[in-house]
Amino acid sequence: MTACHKKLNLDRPETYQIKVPGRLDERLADWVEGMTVTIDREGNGSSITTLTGTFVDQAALQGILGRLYSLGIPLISVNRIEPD
Amino acid sequence: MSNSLLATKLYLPPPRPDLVPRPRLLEQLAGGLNGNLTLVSAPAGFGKTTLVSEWASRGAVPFTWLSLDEGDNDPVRFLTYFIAALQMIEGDIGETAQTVLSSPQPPQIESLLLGLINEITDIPDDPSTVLRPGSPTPPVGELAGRGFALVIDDYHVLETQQIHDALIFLLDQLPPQMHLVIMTREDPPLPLARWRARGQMTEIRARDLRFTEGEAADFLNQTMGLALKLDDIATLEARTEGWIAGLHLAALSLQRHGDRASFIQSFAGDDRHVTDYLVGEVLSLQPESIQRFLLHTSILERMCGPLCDAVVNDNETSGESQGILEHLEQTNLFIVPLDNRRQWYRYHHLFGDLLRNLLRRVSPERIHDLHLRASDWYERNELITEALGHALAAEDFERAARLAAANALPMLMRGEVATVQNWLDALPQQVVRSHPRLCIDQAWVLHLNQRPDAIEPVLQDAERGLESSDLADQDTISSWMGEVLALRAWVKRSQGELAEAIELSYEALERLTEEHVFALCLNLVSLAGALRYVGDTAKAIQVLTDCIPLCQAAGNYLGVMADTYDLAELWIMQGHLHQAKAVLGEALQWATQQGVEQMPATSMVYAKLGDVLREQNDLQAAEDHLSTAIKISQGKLAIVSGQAYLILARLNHAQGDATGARNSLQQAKQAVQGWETPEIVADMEAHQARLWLDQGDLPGAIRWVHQSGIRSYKEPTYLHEFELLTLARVLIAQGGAQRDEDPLHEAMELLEQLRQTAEAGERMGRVIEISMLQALALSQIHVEETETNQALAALERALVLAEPEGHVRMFVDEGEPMTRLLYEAASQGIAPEYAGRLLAAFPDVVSAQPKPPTPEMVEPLSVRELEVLGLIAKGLSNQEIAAKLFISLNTVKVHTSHIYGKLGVKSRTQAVAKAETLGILP
Repeated sequence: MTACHKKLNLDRPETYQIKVPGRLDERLADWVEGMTVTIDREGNGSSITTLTGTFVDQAALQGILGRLYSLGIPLISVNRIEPD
Repeated sequence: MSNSLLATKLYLPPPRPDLVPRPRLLEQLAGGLNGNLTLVSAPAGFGKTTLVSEWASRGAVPFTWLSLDEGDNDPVRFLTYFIAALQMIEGDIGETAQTVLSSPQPPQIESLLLGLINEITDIPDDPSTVLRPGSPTPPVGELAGRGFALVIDDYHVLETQQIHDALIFLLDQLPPQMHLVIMTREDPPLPLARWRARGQMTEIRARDLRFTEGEAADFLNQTMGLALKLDDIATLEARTEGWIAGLHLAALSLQRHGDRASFIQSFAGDDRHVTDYLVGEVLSLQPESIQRFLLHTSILERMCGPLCDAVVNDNETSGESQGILEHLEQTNLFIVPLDNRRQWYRYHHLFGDLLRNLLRRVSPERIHDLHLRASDWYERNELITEALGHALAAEDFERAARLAAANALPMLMRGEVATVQNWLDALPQQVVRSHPRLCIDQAWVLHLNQRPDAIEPVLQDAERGLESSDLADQDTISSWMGEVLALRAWVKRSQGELAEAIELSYEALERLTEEHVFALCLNLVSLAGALRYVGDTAKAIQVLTDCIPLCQAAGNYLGVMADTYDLAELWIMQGHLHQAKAVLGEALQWATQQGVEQMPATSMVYAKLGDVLREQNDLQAAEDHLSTAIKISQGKLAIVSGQAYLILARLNHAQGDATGARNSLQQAKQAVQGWETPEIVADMEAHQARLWLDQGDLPGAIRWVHQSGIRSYKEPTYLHEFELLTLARVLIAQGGAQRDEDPLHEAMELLEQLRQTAEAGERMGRVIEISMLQALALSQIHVEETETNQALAALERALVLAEPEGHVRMFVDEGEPMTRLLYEAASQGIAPEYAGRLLAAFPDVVSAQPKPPTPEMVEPLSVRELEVLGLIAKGLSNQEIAAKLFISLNTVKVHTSHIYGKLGVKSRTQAVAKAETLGILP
């Protein structure tokens, strides 16, 4: 395959950072395995939780986004982290 | 759902001809059969279905297939189809579960699944009975370790947490015969990391499914017959990155394109998304009528000839569409057959999505009408869920409301509560409010979900709607109003407003007719509950007796069991053991006929029946029923388990098994952990006190009296009767042991008060017990013969009431003090045969029946005189007797002279000898 394109597609592993409002730790269970979870305080006292993880493909990413949605958690941002 | 549509959900897609061989993947799948789960997770167009259906056709194990759609987000619906899929492997699996699922109460999913798991585990290993007809019989050596595989396709449409939980439960206890395959477009919210770590899961992901260059070459040249050169193949493969759907679309274009080289060049150089580019290409190469057909039918989830004719041509009978569908199938244009009769088809998901997008871009104004035509066709063919779905998609809310109003109640009665809730949620509030029928249906949903707090505003909307309704039919309005009243009565009852609840229930009864089985059942149960609470047992019995056949007719199995339990309790309270036994027996028979005799709720009936049998001294049968009750309620119905253990403790006592009784009481307490309301705690503690009394631990029982504060109950109601009777027992035991008459007098007062209340409420069962206790109390009061006569009078009252119903344990459990009383009663001609039978049930009774009074004994000996005589027979002197009985020597002499007089003797020895002859020595 002419894989020299660093092109995104549906089946390659990629690292994503997902930001959601509030503190998530209590509601997370074993499905956060493999992701780092950090919580930051904003100036006005509210919190933002950042989930960072490497997803084996887009289906895995969509699975996590789907879980957040069904927990009623809105998304602030979803960003891809470039590999070094 | 109609049978032909159900068949499409279970249709196992046959393998495609001219497949590209993918031995690497098939080997991986075959190896995975030893684990629990195969997960195939990849976006649309990656060839998941093709691969899995190829695997299925290899015949290593039989496969069964379940294709999901959004309507399956109702746990009841999902489980119903799941069981249907299992029945393709083994025809009679899950019949009990289906019965439970089709009743209105929300199912206890875990019990249901456990039942299914057990049934699957029992499937025999013999391959010839397990394989489905038509599939090849594998040589015995090739059978994998598993018995069969169940495929769930399009798992990603599920959003209901209950269903996910059910699958997790299932996978954690998967029977060894079963292998599960989940096909989805995104990772499901299941504990994949855990299963991955334990090696229980095989995964096939997008990168596995992509065509390699070699596979792409096979596909383009062999399957699609294109005969391309290697570097063209490389270009296409790079451009689509091996995405199968993309290659397929490219191939379709190439098949019809005049100038292949230029197509490939433009395609490679274009940076639009593959699908955008190609779908346009593929479509533009089709004749116009086909293009129109594809676009217009894209709104349909499934297609058949007449439906397509209705939607595309507005003419159901034109017959054109059937031909087009078959043509599309032959030219492999992304159409998938859903059965092997050329009846139902659907588009490949990706293609359908793309067509719909295109339709929205090209002729959005058409979409509304297309959906309406579809809705109309489905309605005429009685496929309501589909009709409703299209009405909502057309945003024709009035039409959707009309369909929902006509069909919601039957669906609720069949248990599809979540489906109805979803319908109501999809309609705008205004629309629901303006349809009183829909408001009432919403109230039913809230009732079935145990939400009395939320119902009142909905009922008010319904009433307003009914008032201003232009429905001509007064009868309908009246009966709907009946439903409103019945639901309101239920709310009032749950709030403890019993008088109002009863009034509303009677009003509702006037309006509801026999056809409203569902509402009638609710109303009657609610009414009976309220009547019980206010102590009107006779009316409550009447109401429950009317209700049970209604529940049976409605298939409401939980209702039959719970109502029978309540009814039996009421009969027992009224002292009618035979009636109680009869209704319990009928309920068990019905349960067995329906196949639900092992389901949790049936434990209520087993437990109650065990209690009645125990009371009638049929101890073996009682024990059998109680064991069954405990087994099937364990972990599911804590309160019933607790009750069963309490009854078992009394059984142990009857068997003389003190250790057993203590264990059973302990088990009872453990069973209700987490469910302890104040009433339950008070009940348990009273039972504990009773046990202490039985086992001679009077201090323990007295401690209970102080700690429970029972003495300070201001206005004891019949709900406290058990505790108060326990208090009376403690007082009697105290009075007897401490030779102190004060507790006995207190007991007498209490008992008399209780007896009057019980008689007023017609609770003759209690009256028996109370009278018996009165007799015991009186017999311990060491005054004169008046008390003895009063004691016998009280006992007579008890015996007369108890004999026709076969009570035994009530008397026998009292032990020795009761034997003396019974002897006395028998020798005075009070219920002599019955007393004799009771005496025979005592453990160490020598003679079965006291001899009838001989003419020589004009006047029978009193209880006290018998006592003295007994001590004389043991050889005690008058002094010793006086000391032992705490009476004066004089009193002893008075007693002995009475004894001689009655026995017609003159000396001690003669008295003893005569007494032995008469058989009256204690």
